[in-house]
Amino acid sequence: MASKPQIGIVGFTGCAGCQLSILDLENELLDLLGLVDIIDFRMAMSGNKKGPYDILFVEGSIVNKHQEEELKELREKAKVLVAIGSCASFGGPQAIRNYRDNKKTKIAQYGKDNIDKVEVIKVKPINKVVKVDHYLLECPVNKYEFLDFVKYYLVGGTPTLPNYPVCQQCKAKGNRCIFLEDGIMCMGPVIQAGCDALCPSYGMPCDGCRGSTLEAAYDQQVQLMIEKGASVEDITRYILKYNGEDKQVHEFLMEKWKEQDKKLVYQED
Amino acid sequence: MLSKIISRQDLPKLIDALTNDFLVIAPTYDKKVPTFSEVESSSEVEFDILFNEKLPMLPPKKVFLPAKQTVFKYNLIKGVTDSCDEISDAVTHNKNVVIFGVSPCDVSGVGVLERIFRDNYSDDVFLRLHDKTTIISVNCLDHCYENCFCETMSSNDPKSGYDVMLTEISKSKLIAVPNSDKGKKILRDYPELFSQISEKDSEAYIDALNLKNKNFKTEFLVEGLASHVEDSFESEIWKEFTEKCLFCGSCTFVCPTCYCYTVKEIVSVDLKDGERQREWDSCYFPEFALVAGDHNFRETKEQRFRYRYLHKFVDLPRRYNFEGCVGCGRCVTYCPANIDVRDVLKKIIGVM
Repeated sequence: MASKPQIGIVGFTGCAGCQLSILDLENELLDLLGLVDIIDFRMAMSGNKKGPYDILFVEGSIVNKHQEEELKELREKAKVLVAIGSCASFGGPQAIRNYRDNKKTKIAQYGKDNIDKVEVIKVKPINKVVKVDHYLLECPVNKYEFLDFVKYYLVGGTPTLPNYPVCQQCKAKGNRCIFLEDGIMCMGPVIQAGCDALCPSYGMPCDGCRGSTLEAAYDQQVQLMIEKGASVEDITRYILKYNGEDKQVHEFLMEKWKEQDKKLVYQED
Repeated sequence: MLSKIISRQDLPKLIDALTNDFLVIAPTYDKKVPTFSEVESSSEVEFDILFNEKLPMLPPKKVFLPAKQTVFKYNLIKGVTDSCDEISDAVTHNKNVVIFGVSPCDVSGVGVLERIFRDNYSDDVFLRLHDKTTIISVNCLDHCYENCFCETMSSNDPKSGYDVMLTEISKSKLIAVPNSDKGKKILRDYPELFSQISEKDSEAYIDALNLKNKNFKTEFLVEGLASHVEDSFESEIWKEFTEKCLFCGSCTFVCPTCYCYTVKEIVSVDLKDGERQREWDSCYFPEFALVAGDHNFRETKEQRFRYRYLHKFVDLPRRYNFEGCVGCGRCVTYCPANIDVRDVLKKIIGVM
């Protein structure tokens, strides 16, 4: 290998958990550093360089003009740009505000007198600002998928993420179906697998942090949730939790679910 | 007579004896889920799953075709380092395997898989595991639960595929009928647990089989089913069920005869070693029929829903002379959307 690929890991609006997850690769980190040079990783080191990057991993969503500009500049310095985690990929929990009255949200957040002082635009996943080459999902990002991506990049390719629902991995592990048998609202049937059914394996429902699976059956999922006793408000919450800017979620909410939940108002740009 | 008697009390002793010589897989509960898993002593075995009419959620296919399985391992310089035989042997700790408590429908299910993995092309990984396994079946004398329709699928009286069949002839006694060399060996190797069969036992066995015949009822006729399904290709029935289905794939994973898998490569961090893995796939998933050039043989959900039925009830019977369904009812039990395979078939035949 002539020179090692230069890697950057940066964060915008989010909890920084994705960056922490990458640091959490304790057993693999030294091997990883043998393969790549990490030149920009504010959470972990000083002396960071602002590119050029062979791969730039971006965590967090974009919530103001300043961040938009910064991200665009970063994109120009990066050969490959990868969105990591729910916020960068689908807007994350903060994208819930996109479906609420913006003024009311601002008053609740900053107080009536300050709403014009704070510049907050709509919460955007990074693909609404720049071209994204690849997505690594989960909240926080799945560290092994991050590692896989780097390995595949080095051998020349990109890993294929699973494109099937969490139910596959639940059944593979022999888990009890808490949605069917206990009536717990589990989003597993419509959510992308890859987490190894982490939450259901511990008796917790799938929260949906990996975004919609391919051709997710939201109509059917919601119908079943209603039959199991979920309220309209709750269903909106379950669906919106992480993935407000996921295309399928957006389409379902604004084209179908709006008739049920009148409180949904989507902020246009 | 080759058949022997074992007392119900001695079943735990048989399992304990087997654990000395085999890797024993038997019904247990794992976090409230009835399941087949490796046991080290009879105290771990849940006999109530066997005798109180429950089916483990995942069928015995999980032993031969687990959810995720390493097929072989390789190294950049050395080539293949671990062959599929070596890996299969390591999985079973170089021991032969006994699966205890397989129901007759599941015996038929394993039979379906075996034909497919042996006849069409020889799948070394599957067959290596299958051929080192002794199946001890426990007979069903009645429908085990409301979703069972094994009689309809003619799967509750398999002629092969098991090595020993245990049938309850009274509350305290079971008759053990061997059906292969492996089965005869079990009866021979643990003589202290098996006794000779008496004339009375023979009669009780015949009574039990007659009772079985009387108890099992056919729910609908599968004669001509393949033609019905074929002629319903454009039917609205598929649409009706597609609108209910979540396409989560659960039915395919709990199915004793669904065998589709996908293959992927796992590379080590130093990029020198790797392994090929296979993993359960489902024809209900959008990318299942995706091929090069972005062409997808089954682009719509309706096509995917229908395809599973075409495969099980047209393709397999025409090619192998058996349906790809043994009537265990797991797909009904574990469908989050409450879709019942019997309803689909009855509507197709026109009896519902």
